[in-house]
Amino acid sequence: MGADEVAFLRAPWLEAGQPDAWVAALEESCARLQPDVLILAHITMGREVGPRLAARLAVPIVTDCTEVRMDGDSGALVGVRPCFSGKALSEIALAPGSLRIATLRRASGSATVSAANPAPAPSVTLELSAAHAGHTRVLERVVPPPGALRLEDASIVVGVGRGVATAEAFRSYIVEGLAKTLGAAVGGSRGAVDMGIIPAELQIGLTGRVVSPSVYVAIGLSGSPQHMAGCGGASTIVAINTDPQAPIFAYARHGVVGDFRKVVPSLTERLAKILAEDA
Amino acid sequence: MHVVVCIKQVPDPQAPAGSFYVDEATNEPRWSPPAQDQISTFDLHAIEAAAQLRQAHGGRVTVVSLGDAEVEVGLRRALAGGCDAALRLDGPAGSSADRSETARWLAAAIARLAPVDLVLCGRLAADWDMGHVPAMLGELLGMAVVTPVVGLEYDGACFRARRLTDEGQEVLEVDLPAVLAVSNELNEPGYPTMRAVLQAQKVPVTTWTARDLGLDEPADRAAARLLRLLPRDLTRECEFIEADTPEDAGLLLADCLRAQGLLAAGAKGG
Repeated sequence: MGADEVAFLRAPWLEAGQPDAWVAALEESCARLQPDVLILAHITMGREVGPRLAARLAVPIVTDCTEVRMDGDSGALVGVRPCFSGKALSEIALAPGSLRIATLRRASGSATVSAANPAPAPSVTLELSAAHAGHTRVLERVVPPPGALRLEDASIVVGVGRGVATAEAFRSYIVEGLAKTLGAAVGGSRGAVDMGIIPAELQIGLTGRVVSPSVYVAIGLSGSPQHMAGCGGASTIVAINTDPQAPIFAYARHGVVGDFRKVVPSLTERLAKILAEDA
Repeated sequence: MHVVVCIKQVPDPQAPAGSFYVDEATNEPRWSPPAQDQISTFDLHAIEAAAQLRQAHGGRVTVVSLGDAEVEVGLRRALAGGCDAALRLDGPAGSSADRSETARWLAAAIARLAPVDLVLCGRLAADWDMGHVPAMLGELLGMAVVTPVVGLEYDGACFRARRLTDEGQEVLEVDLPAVLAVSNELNEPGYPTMRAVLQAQKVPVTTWTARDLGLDEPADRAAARLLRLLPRDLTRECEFIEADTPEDAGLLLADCLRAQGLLAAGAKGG
């Protein structure tokens, strides 16, 4: 994927997967490898680990970047990041002179391994100090069933809002219906979480998951700025909503004004037929 | 238990998207008509969590905010929401690019408020959307950090927090003192009663300056700076599918998605 060298970090305490451990591991790795720039994925782990490491090392950081680049003249690391719920983009420059940290949003499907470059990069393994005591201990983990499609990995995402009304409708019309047929991942708005339609970890938005699929199908979703900050990077948005004035239609390329209970079954049926024909 | 809640006032995040613009001369965000300042959304959940902990376990809650005299409006709202004491830090309310100075002020104040068992913050402020402060505070204070928190349990001895992870959720046993970044799933903030609002007016707001906190001039504030702020418009022209019945619209939408080549990516799998 373009790396010149790969460093594997090894320590028994990393397996617990806690941010405490990752901050310690990256602190030690940076001390040994002396990088100019550290880039982390802007996922829940990176959102916490990045600013913690920046504070611990007293170095500058820019997070939630949609793009990072080096400015040739000043040597600054420039991060471009949405702010004000996606209503603006800010360009933030981190001056050279110390380690600089950025967390980067991932565009779905952008991290492809090129088959034309079969030579593996040379790798080193860093054995980290054995002693590490975290401030937290995991008592219980709730994880999705194995094989479930991650929202960030899906090229099609179906998102639901308050209009879907119940968890049962979400299951029957979307999970078992449209999303299954499309091979799409599912998520939804904060409103859908508040109404108990979807679990909190499937929230898409500024404070939830950030997805950039090829197609985002928004169902019964109003399209608040908070939500659009999490799915506005989709190449194409398709919206189904009973309210023709819903803000989501301002972002959508294709829209249907209608009740999803009537639109989605015929859409699903026809898609199943099309996909079977095209396969 | 002594709980400290850190709050920030931001321009109304619910202000219509169309009222937002950028002053290109100064690179500053503007609203027309002006957006009212209010306590950032997630901070309201932090205030509510602190009030609930105090109600259940006693102790006291101190609310802290950094900025000029205008932040006292938010501090009094927090007092009405269940906090016991309010503290204003007379310093810069946070630049557009760098949160380390905000964290430095808050950490110095919390150290002076010792003993502190718990620091509650909103998971991010609804303006620059960074969410750096709780993580930085935990490091500067040497406390446990948990982000983003959607559940809390305390039995007087063992403190448990439920957090979102990239895969799902986790329940953690947390050593106190700790800094928690609170998410909206945690609780449902109520509105203070008129009586509480009136009582909050009588509580004095303490003010601490850089000198009170023994803070030096920041060493190098230019490490991270805002180059440009650009308005961003994601809106586009929507083509509506017209049909006699919603069932027909569903069929036409499927045909449209195929015609536009939008199904290819999904058919191949992510």
